[in-house]
Amino acid sequence: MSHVSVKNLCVNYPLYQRAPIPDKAQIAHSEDPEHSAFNHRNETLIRGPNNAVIGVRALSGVSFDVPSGGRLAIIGENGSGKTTLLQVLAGIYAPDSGEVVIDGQTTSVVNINLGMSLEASGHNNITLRGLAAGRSRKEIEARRADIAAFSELGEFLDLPVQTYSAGMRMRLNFAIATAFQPDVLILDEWLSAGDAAFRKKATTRMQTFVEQAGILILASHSRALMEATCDRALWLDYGQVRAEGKVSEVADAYDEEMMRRQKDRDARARAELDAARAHEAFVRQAELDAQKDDGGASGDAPIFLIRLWHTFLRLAGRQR
Amino acid sequence: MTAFFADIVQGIGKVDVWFTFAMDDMQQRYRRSALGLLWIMLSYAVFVGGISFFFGAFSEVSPERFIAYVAIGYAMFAFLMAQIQDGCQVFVNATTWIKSVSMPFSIHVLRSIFRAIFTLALNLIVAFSAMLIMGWRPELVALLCLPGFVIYLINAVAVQYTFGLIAARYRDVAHLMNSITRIMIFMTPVLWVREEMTGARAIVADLNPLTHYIEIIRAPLLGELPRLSSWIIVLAITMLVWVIAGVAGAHMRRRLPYWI
Repeated sequence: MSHVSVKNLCVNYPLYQRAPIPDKAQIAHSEDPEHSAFNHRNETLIRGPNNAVIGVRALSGVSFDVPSGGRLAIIGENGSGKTTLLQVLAGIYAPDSGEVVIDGQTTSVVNINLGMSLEASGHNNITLRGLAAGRSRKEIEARRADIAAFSELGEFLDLPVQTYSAGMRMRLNFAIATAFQPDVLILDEWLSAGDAAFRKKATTRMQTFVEQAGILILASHSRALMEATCDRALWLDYGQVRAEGKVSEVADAYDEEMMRRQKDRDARARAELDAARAHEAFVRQAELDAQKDDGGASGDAPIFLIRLWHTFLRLAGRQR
Repeated sequence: MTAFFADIVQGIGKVDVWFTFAMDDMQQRYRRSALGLLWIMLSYAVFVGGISFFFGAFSEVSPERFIAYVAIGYAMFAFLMAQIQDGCQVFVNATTWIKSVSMPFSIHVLRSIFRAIFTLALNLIVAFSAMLIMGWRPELVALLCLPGFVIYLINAVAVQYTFGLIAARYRDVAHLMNSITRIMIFMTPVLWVREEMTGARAIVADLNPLTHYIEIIRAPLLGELPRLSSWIIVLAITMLVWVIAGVAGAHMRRRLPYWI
């Protein structure tokens, strides 16, 4: 019997010399209560001694259980920690604290561009992926025809994966991941990128899979897909569990909240745009004034300098 | 630390995985060239021939012996250097697999070592062919190179794993190592004979660990007993390398997926 149990999981995603050190104005700006729409997100940043961002609190205090045959949908905004959670469940990222217990063989397809050797042919990739997932050559050969049929790639399987379109890669990836009947299947939202025919086929396959008491954990933005394949949903918000329950209920609450947030963000974006326009007008006025003062050819230099100065400020990220 | 050693043991157990991955790497590298793997042998033959022709004149050793000296010595030198250079890339190049499939990291190390062994084998085919033509015959003492090669492999696992971790975290290390390996060819008695040198050059050669690593394989194949001091130094460095690997593995292994 397969089983997934996660207790109080915390994952900090470290950043290495990728984030600039903010100046005081920027810190004040981000702490401004007027910008509350982004404050939650900023709270997930981990700051070092000089206030530089050194990491992201990707997941904090996440707990849930999926029993045998359970089908869990993971809902959340972009950057809410869905993919990180899936990668922890797949055993790729080690948790900083908390406990992840998975009984059963796991297969995950978190990113369609990963887990493939691009120069190798489709057939070679079936072998490599099968071996990497801990399958024997005999098992791989036994499933090869099925993978080829499901992916519908035909003779393309003899060509390097480089030559495949994104959709073809997705088909092959999904076909390999589901062919070996893992106990736990972990899929990220890329699935909804397929065409309608493939989505239908994939949904049917996932349903057959869960009927065999396998566990499915699926991150998705597609409500139709989640309702068709999952029985429960987990809403991740800024790395924390916001709600867990029936798919329709959680999805309703999520949609409502997203609508509200989007309004906030639109208002904020409009305000920022207005401020930027006002600033631009001010600069233009300053340029005109400078032109008037100096007059003629000599006026070109200050305008040029002002422009240069503002370009510099913008490049340095000191001005919005 | 236990997790690090468990990772290595599990990885070694999955022979089929790293062997297949390594073969796939080799195929890809030469897939679109007409001569394919022959390029490795061809370029080695040209290199050894050229070196023997130009550098042989500076040595008092007979031409046949100098060719054997260079052909074996440089193959070993290249293998040892490959452990450091490939080691720096071993995890970075495996990003796609490390980030998508949970399997022992040592799989990638073993895959990389196997690739280097493959190249070494091809180089040695060239070396032994040339030597046999020049009248070289193996003596009983040549068997002593076998424990030497086992030591090479034991070192290779620790060296590649350590450099793989460090170079994944600090990307400058790969560049630093590249510049160091370039100078090593001159500081190691491969193109020149250690016994013919005196003074500072002799001291540099004796302080260079590579001198001793090459000695324990090259000397038996040339019909000499390797110096005991070389064996002792090699064994001591091997232990040191594994201690460093253990410490690096214990501290860094868990974070590796975030770095690449």
